Amino acid sequence: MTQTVIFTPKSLSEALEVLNDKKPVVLAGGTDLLVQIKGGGIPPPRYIIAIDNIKALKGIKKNGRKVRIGALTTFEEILDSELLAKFAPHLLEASYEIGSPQIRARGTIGGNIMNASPAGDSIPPLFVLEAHLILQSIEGRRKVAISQFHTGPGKTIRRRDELLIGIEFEAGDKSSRYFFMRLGTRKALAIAKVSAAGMLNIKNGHIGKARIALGAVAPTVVYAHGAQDLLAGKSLSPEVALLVANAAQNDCHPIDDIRSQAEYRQAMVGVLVERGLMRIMNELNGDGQR
Amino acid sequence: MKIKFRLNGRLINADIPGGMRLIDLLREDFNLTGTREGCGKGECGACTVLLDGKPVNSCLVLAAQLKGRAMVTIEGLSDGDTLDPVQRAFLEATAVQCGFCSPGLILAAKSLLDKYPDPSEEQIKRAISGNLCRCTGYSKVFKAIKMASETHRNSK
Ligand SMILES: Cc1cc2nc3c(=O)[nH]c(=O)nc-3n(C[C@H](O)[C@H](O)[C@H](O)COP(=O)(O)OP(=O)(O)OC[C@H]3O[C@@H](n4cnc5c(N)ncnc54)[C@H](O)[C@@H]3O)c2cc1C
Ligand code: FES
Ligand code: FES
Repeated sequence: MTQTVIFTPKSLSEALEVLNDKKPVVLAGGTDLLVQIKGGGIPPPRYIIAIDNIKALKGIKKNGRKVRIGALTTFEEILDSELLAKFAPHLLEASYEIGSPQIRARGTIGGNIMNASPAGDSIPPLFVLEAHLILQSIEGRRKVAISQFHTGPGKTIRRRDELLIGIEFEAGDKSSRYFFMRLGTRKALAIAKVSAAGMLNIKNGHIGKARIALGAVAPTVVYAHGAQDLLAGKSLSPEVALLVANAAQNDCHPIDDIRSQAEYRQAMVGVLVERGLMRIMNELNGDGQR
Repeated sequence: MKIKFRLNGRLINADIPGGMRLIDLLREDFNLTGTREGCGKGECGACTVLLDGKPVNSCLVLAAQLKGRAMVTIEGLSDGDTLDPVQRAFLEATAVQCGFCSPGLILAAKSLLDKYPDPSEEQIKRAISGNLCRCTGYSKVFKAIKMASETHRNSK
């Protein structure tokens, strides 16, 4: 990499110019990219743009009902955010599980999304929030639903002149309940074998909107459509949780790989979804049925 | 490319090749060999340094990304011959065997105690979860960090 030219812009406009002119590889926290370059998965780039000095890409804000997370926000910053603890507690649960202190201090949510791994831990939580990604180039901005963004492992619809600048979602209300569950080989430094996130709107004991997303069981993170349809209009009970968990197993198409086997993954999807739903049920029973 | 940053308190101006990793800058250009390379891919923590007070893997940072930041390596922890309380606790608890992992573990512990002077057991375990040690089995490391937190509190 000694021949590599590195750009370290301070402003977004400067960065967008460089992206347009040189089509450099973007470097945020480096916890995926530098591992991939070292491992030979990616040839040493001619140009790299290090974006970690651009203030406009940092911070977590709420404006009206919209919550916005800057692309450069690290997992450690997510864990320290009171705003996200309130409006995306399941994203904190996911961040808690990621890597190690060193990885959480550097790894960004933007990098996690752009790396496009089906096992990326921030992605299922963002799916169930129906989050949108904000992409910007010198030509302007576009917003893309996160569920439309990934096309396969490591593949997205980003153009090479675009930068992910932030993630936006609509804040829930008192009726919104969330969960994130994952399974790895051990607590620290293990990539998820299977993960599941959920969001339920529950009023007077009845489920309105329901979103369930599954990680590491298909080429991209996916919604469990069958499970979602089953939940709508029901009340949570152990029987419903089991039914929905079984449906979720049919919503995914896992593969065998170095981390796990398809059959095991499919079974575990059911376990995670059931656990998540049961937790929400217990929470509701704990603080009085709404 | 030219960069300016703080290294163990000193202001440094350096001219570096673009794609150079932070760990190579430290070991090769500054001869700060307390920062070790184990895996080179973020898994062992032997290369841990503090960047703006936070533990990071120097094998996964480019030297170019140091621009305007402050960094501390294990060599910057002691004040001349006077060891930092965390270093002293590691010696007293014999939490060091071959020593390959010690600089990284000590810096990870240091940043924990800076943020949480009186950490819980769970916090201590999480703080060192990115640092592999093949010799000690961690229990003495754990004890050393507890000792350091007590000295820290008693000196207040
Ligand atoms: C030891 C170890 C453990 C890990 N554990 C986990 C884990 O438990 N769970 C998990 O999900 N991940 C894990 N990871 C993977 C990694 O840490 C995360 O995916 C992290 O979020 C990546 O963020 P980054 O800022 O470091 O990305 P980088 O490595 O800087 O970038 C990743 C990719 O995204 C692109 N990119 C980054 N930011 C932008 C942007 N704003 N606009 C356009 N493109 C961009 C880069 O070009 C690159 O292709 C682990 C990695 C390591 C080394
Ligand atoms: S050498 Fe950097 S984490 Fe192992
Ligand atoms: S003391 Fe030998 S690796 Fe930790």
